[in-house]
Amino acid sequence: MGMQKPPGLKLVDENLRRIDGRRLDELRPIKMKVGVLNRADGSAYVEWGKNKILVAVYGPRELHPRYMQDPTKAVVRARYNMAPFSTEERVKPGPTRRSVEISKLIAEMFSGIIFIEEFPRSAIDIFIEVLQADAGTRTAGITAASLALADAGIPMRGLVTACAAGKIDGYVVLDLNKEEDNYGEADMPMAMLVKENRIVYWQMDGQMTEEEVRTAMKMVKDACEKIYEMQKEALKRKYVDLEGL
Amino acid sequence: MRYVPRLDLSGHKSRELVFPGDFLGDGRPLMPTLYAYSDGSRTYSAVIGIPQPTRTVIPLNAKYLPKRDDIVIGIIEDVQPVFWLLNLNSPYPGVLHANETPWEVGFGETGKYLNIGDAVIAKIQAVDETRRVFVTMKDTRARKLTSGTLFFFPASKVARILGKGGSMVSMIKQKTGTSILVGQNGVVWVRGHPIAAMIVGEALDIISRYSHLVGLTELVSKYIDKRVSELKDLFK
Repeated sequence: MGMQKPPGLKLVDENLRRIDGRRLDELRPIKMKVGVLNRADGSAYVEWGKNKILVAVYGPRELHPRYMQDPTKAVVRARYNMAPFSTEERVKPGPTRRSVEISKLIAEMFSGIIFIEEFPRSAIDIFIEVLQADAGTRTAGITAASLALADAGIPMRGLVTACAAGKIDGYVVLDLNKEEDNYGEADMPMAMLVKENRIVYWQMDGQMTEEEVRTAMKMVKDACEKIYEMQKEALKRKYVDLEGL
Repeated sequence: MRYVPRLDLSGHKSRELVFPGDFLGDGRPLMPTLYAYSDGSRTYSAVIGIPQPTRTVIPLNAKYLPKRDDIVIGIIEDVQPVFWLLNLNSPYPGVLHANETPWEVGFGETGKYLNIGDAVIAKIQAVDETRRVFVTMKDTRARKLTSGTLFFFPASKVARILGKGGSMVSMIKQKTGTSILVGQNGVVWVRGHPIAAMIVGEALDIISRYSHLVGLTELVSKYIDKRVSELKDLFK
């Protein structure tokens, strides 16, 4: 969206294959690892296609400055940040309009999932660092953040799983990559609690009909079920198979 | 991070674990708990941990939440005219008022007794609903610590460090010839030969890291035996 599509570029070919060879409802390859940082209370690393994302979670811990403390619940703070070297063109360091928005939404989403009322006056900090970006970093970041929160032992309703769907060349497709995101017609990231079948985060950029949105949501839901299993596998690898312990 | 050796874990299996959102059983939890939740008729885990028959979970990793009458080890992190603030290895600092010490502390004389960085054994006197914590040293077990080494662990590991009826900690004490005090907040105080204290630290790291394995005592016991024999020349 937003960018002029180069003339002659076909995002979906006549065999319904996309430019990276995927089918319309196929995810990119995903790798997850839990407990990668020693200093943080919890951490996770996710590779999602060409995305590389590192998440650290601290807390619950004392909240400074004190005027930010809430005597009834914990404050969840999130920082989504793209490394300067994460894209082809250097990203200027520091918060941007986009990263402030994503951080705010992620913090608000996790506030509704973590049992924050159990930890009055404290802070739970989530740091999402995008080391390499290729579209879909916020969904990969949310997926990694929920692993890191579980690793930190922070009580929550369940693991949050996120994925995006969108529209390219008139087709509704799952998990857009950079080219599809730039030259496609719509992008719709969504996060959910798979076991409760509850949507906890939903955004859309671009235009789709109601019917297309329904198809996209169904695609994301099915994909989230697969990603959820991967998340549990990643946690099991650390704790049950003792990998890296 | 201290040196923690790679262990031969063959033959050691993890206990059954649950993850956030996993189903624990029908009905509500049988005990009040932070680590499980129910929608009224079904109970789910809120953390990674070991499920219990009471439909609760023992978390693998949890911060210390102060509870009345707990004996804890705290580090002074701030000195005020009539009280000290203690780091309790918890999201919540403890307030130690000058009147709650065995000494007669005049106004502004707090720094003469305890300073930043000093460690004390203290008792949790009260915790209010917003988790403000008050600690006291008016207890026979309370005192200022002047020697030894401190190790820090998540409070959820305390039960495993102690072992059933204190079996784990007494085994470590006996094998290393040290004296060990485990605070309920996960701070462990070790006195003894410096090399012995180092071995205890490594053993505690193993307990903390592999707390969910079956046969943990045996693993730790073997490790201590190995280290003690490797380093016996240093015990002079």
